[in-house]
Amino acid sequence: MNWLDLRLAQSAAVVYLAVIVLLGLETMMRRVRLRLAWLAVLSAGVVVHAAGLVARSAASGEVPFTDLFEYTLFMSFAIVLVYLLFFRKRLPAVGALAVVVVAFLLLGSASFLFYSEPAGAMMPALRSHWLYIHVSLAALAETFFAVGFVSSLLYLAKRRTADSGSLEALDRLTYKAVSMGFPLFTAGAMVAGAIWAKQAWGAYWSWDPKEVLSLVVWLVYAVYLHARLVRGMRGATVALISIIGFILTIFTVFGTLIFGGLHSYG
Amino acid sequence: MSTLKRVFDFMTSARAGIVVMVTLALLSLLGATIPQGGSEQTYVEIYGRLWGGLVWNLGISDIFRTGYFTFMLVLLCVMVLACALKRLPRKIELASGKPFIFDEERLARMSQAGEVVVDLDVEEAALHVVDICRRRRYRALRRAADGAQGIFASKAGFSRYGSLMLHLSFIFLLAGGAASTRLGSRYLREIRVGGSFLLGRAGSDSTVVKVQDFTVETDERGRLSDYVCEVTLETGDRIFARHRIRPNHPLVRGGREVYLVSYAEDTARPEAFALSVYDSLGNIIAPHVFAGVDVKDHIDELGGAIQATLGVLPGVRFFSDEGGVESYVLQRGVLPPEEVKGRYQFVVMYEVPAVLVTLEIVREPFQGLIIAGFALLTAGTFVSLYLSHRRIWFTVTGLPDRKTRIVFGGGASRNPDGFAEEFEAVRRTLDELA
Repeated sequence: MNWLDLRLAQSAAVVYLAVIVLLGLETMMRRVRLRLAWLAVLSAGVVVHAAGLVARSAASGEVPFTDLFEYTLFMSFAIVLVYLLFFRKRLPAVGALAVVVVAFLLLGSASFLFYSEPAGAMMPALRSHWLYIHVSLAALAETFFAVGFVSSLLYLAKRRTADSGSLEALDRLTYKAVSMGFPLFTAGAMVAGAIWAKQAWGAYWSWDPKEVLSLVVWLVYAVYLHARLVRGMRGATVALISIIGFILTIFTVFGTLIFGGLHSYG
Repeated sequence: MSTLKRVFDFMTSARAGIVVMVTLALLSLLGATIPQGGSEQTYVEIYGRLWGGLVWNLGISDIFRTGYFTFMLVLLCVMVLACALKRLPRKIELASGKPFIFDEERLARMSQAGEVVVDLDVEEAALHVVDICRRRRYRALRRAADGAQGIFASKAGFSRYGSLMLHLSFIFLLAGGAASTRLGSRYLREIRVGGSFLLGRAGSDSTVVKVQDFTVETDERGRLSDYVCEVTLETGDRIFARHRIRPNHPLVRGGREVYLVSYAEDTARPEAFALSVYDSLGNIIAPHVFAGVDVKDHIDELGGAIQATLGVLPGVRFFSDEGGVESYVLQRGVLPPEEVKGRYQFVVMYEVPAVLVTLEIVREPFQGLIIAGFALLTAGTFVSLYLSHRRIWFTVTGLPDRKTRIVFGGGASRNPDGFAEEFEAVRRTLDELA
């Protein structure tokens, strides 16, 4: 046991903590411009984080999302990566701060609460190409929901102080994140999950706690999209729905710890 | 307003849809967080007399099978169907209607609008506009009317069917699920290796599935890699197919699927046992493995085999195993020295248990509906949310001195910022013509 995966994950968490300090300084002291510095440190954190995923994968010989530790490690990595790739220019520094805090909390919980030694060979039930599709798409979707959660939080926090232009930009950002995440969640978590469940367990749907919680998350984001696209709702109400959606997403990810069920692999 | 119209309006209203979805989400949340399928006593123990009784009496203990949950699902299905029907005429109108707009004032009121005068005649200007649109991968149509030319350019027009696909997917999924539940069947069979069962109903399908073997496979590093249940499909005495049922690899045959659910050792009826004969120094000198389901049946055979090998007849000790299961073994463990018979010691080292595999036989008709529902659901969400139906209308009118005025306007169903950028690029290209 070389613990390299854990050491790298914890190192990445420390780097993200440094980014949080830099972003906190920039947010509180408006004259200080540290954008280049925190972007550089954040990029370094992503590299260390990626190395942690590779080390984990090398130790187990499998893709790094077969238990809760690996899933959380992967999801926190995807959150930072998606922020850097898609939302770096759209979110203000305080938004970046919130994104990194979410990633840090997930990575911290993975490193300190859910760490498990690499299991070695993957259990037979997980040996399916659907694992790659189902889990990676679901994690990616949840990553976009995390960005939507952050922009919705910012919307609610700033709605009394910010100008309408920046509020509208945050509202649009939430919509963009949710509208990118929702199809991925539908295809990955719901459809690919159901098809794999049929192959593995003989039924598309078993009312397993994780399945049901995923359905709840899907319904909440469907309500968000209906409210915004069909009813034309904007602002605090839809921001609140997006926040509830992400809280339920986190509840779904960690729900197997409480409720067990067919998805208790980690 | 007639009652029917009021009901239809209610069924198709976004507000009612949101209320039904939120209600379903809340009921599902209850079902996910409260253990399902327990007894009344279980809930009283977990939640106390008041709340436990409430959980039991309101059916929350089995919420997904309650009438009110089913009602909400059916209501959602009906609402979705009503929405699909309501939108259908508009979709047909959009697909078959006249797309050209010659009204310049209407163009000016669009979310993006512009005007440019170019030094070209009407025909040349129209051809340039069509070319600009096509280079941007728009589908461009042109029509002349009253000396002017109308051009309609559109991109990703298919996205307008996204919501229809989504609504239809619900109907397919719920109909497929209901048909499978009502008309399908699923049951478990516990089969001992070597045993067999009839795949279909007696009289309708004579295919017999025989479990030939069950193995736990390991990889090159000795780690568990797979559970494999080898079966043959037989009719009469003829084996016509072989299959390895594994996790994620069910046997699919004649509308039925056979899944490997679990395996267990049949400790009550071992398949074989192993006997080792030791000399007085503790060296194994005659290992034997006897196949069979009951050691008792083989005691004489065993004794004879030992006598034939070593020239001595073993003394046999019977005793009952723990749990009251009678076990006919010679001896577990090493005999104390005073009980060693002669120069040899006979020890039953282990029993080889028979393997019982549990298979689930599933028949789910109308799976095609479910698969179609999944395809529509996936395609519908991507088409609705990732594709933006962009449309630009141009009116090209001739002016004196071989000049032409181009008035244009347009909009997009999604991503207005992206469309605004593209519209601006089109405007710049037209300005270059001027």
